[in-house]
Amino acid sequence: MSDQAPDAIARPLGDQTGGLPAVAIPVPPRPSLRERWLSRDTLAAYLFLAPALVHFLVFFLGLVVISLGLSFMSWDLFSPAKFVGLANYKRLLFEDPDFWPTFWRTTYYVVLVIPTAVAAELLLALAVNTRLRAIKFFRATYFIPVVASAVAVALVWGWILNTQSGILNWFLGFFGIGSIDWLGSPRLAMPSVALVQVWRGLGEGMIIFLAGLQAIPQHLYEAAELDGAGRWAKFRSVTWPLLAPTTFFVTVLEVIGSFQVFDMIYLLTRGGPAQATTVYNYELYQQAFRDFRMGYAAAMTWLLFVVIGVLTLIQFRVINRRVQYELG
Amino acid sequence: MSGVRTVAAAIAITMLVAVGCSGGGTENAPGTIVVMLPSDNPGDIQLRRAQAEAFMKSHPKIKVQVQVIPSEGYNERVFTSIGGGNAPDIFNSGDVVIPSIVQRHVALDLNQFVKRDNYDLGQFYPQVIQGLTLDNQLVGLTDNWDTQVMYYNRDLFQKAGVPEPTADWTWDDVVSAAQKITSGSGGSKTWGLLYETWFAPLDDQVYSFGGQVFSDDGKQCLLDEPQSVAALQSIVDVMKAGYAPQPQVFEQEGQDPFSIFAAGHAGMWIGSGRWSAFDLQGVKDLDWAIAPRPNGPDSPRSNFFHLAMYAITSASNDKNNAWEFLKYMVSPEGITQAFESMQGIPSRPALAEDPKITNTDIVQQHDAFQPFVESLPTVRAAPFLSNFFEVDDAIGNGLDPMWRGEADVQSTATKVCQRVDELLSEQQS
Repeated sequence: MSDQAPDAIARPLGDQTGGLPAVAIPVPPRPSLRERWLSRDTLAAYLFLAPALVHFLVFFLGLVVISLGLSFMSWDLFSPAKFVGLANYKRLLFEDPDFWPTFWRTTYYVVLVIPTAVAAELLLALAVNTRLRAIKFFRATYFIPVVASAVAVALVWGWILNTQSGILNWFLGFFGIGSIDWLGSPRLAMPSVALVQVWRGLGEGMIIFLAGLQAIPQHLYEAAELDGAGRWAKFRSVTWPLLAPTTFFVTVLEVIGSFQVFDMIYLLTRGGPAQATTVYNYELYQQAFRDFRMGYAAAMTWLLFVVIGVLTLIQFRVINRRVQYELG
Repeated sequence: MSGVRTVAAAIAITMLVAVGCSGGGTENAPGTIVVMLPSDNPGDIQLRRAQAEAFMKSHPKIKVQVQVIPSEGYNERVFTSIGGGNAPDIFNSGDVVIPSIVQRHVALDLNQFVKRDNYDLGQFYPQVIQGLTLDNQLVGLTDNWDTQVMYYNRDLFQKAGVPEPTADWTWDDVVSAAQKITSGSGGSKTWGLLYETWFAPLDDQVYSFGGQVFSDDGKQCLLDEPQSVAALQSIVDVMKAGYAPQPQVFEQEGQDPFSIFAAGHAGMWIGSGRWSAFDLQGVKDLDWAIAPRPNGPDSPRSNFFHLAMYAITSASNDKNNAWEFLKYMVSPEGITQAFESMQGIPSRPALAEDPKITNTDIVQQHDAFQPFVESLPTVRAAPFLSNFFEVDDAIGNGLDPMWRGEADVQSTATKVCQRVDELLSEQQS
């Protein structure tokens, strides 16, 4: 090896299979800094990257930094922004009587949505994980709500849940159940919105679960069958443990998404009745665009970011440890 | 050469993206006045477009463009477009937004033009000009005004043997009539009274009972004072007695006050202004009429003054031309043009009794004129609070359990006032 030219590396190719001699691959001379940064190819590459980079810097990172700065300001869009230090955060956590009720209301929503959504998505994925001829049609159908516009979904569910003429109450009427005020009752409004949101996200979770299910090696099921395992035993001993990384991933996504719920609330209940569905992001929207407390709303955003971050971290630390990623 | 082509292609793509990202927003072209208004009143949109056409004919150098914004979140959009430097020249706004406009210096004080042009504000109802003035600043002008009244069903009054309401009716007369008219139960129930519990009718009830929602300086909530509590109690009592529906009923689809009244299932309806008359005139087999709101036990009635106005943004590039068009909108010519779609009463007394207003069906058959004019001496302008919507939400949400019969009036009012006091102190800081 030592007799090779200094700018060439000897690499034994296939020497374990025997026979082939070591081949020296010539390494081109190291380009100068100027050549590296200013060659036509590099320049072209950067120019091609530029749109995405500019978009990222201006419309994402830039705004993130601005919103962080804004959270230490008092700004109503019209008067010059005033630096107020941690006052917005102090007010949020210790002085605003609406903050904690809104936070716990949002947590209630998250608690309603997560188990229901994850269970329903898993069940649906199991149901469509078959080799039926028309299965692609069913998978696509279940995915439609994910791509449908939120306004259309809200409109349709508004009709379904309509107290007087809604199809749900009409159906329940056959069982002698009287008209239920799904969205108008402070007690039922949140579960109703949660139901709509679960339905809306079904397809997304289903697709991820389906990918997880199809990654489970078939021979494990065959081995389990040889051991005399029934359907339930196969699910419990093979599917569920091997699906754990997927379940974990879906749960993390659901937690993040649920804390950020806004559109369905805005479209279906406007935070009502009597604040029963005023969740975190709806309150944030009101603070920003009804009351023009931009700094305060920015602080709310960052606090939510911290909450979601901490929760995700906890999930990674606590649950992820128990997740088995590889066979072994 | 291929390298040059690649770089050129990259530049072209970057330029395209940059152009695409510019958002297509255009600055108002010089000489173009942009008028912003909400989408919920098609008649008004049509009218403003017609006014713009007529104005442009007589002012060929000025172009007027009517920009319609979705009515959901209209105020937010107007304010953010002004705050974001993309302000219209003229915008439609409501009375309760005036303090916010003044505090944030969003609109011009029209007094500067009034003085300069010797513009005669005396041609308008004085209450209109007062209602549009805050801190000596004339925030906007309007072509019409409206106020809270009481709708009633003549057939149901006749059936119950109750004389029709008059201007000197008191709350006790309303309750007594409601009791006699109420009949039936379940889906076919006829309610004696529909009392909406949003801010305007609530404010009227409190003042007609001698109470106040806020102190005169707007610094304190007085909803928990004895007379205000008595006013709230008076509505709760009618609901408890079963003469008027609780809010739960209204929350059900198809059970809003208008639908119940239009279906002939209510004797009286408090909580609306002249705008409902236009919707009711299309309802068949309903003999309805309008009376002034009732007087309180010891105090005269109070009437919330509804003013939708047009203001000129401080950031307008073309203030003088904007003023010219605004003047046209509220001129006798502009108002006459507005008669067909106008839901309120013309803001100029000289035009209020024009046959095109007084000879209409809603006036001739349903009294949609006199009760409004009779209410003029007791109109009350919207409270001047810069965070009105937040305070209004706190009151609405706070009182909700009380309307539902889940909490008593005094303790609810006390709790609401604690929160409202906090919000009132914030608006001054």
